[in-house]
Amino acid sequence: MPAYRPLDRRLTAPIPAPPPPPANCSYQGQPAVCVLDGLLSIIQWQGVRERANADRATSATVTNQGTE
Amino acid sequence: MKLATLGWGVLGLLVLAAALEWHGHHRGYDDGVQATQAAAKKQVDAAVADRQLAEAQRAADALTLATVRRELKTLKDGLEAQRAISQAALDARDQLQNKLGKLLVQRTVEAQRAAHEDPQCADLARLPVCPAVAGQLWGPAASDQAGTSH
Repeated sequence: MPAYRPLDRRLTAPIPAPPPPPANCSYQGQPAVCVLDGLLSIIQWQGVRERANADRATSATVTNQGTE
Repeated sequence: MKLATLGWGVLGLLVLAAALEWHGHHRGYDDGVQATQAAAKKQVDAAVADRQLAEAQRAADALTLATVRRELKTLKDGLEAQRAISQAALDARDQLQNKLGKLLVQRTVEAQRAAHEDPQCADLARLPVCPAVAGQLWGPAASDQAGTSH
């Protein structure tokens, strides 16, 4: 028994990309991102995925498609 | 004497004729009554049958209506319950996102601290990302920043 209702804008708004990591190293005299900071930025992207999945779960509940 | 006998005979004939006449009339009357009664009974039977049919139809309609009402009620209750669940999920949404954000900040801080404190990570902390990869990951700005200076 589907109960369609418009999705709240909060659930459909684009999720912004996390900011780029700081350029704490230098390459040929120019500031550059250190590899360690680059790897650590994966954590930010993991956070984006978590947020997206949380909103997907909420969307499923709101549209009565279960919680999975 | 002869005349008297004749008189009685005539009287007898008259009485017989009257009786026959009465009998015939009566039979005709009875037939008429029976026909009328039969016709009336037919009409009554037909009316009774019509009424029974109408009553049965009305009962069936009432049953159908009750069933439809009950189904609509079930549907309405279900929709209201789902609406409540939806509203609760929407109400909890911002809180959930805030919680995830806080957990992420916490995890980031811990990971950065651990990484920068660990001497085994020191090489990576000094090593710059090469421009080609930086450009792919963080755009041309990062690539320029990383030093393809012409």
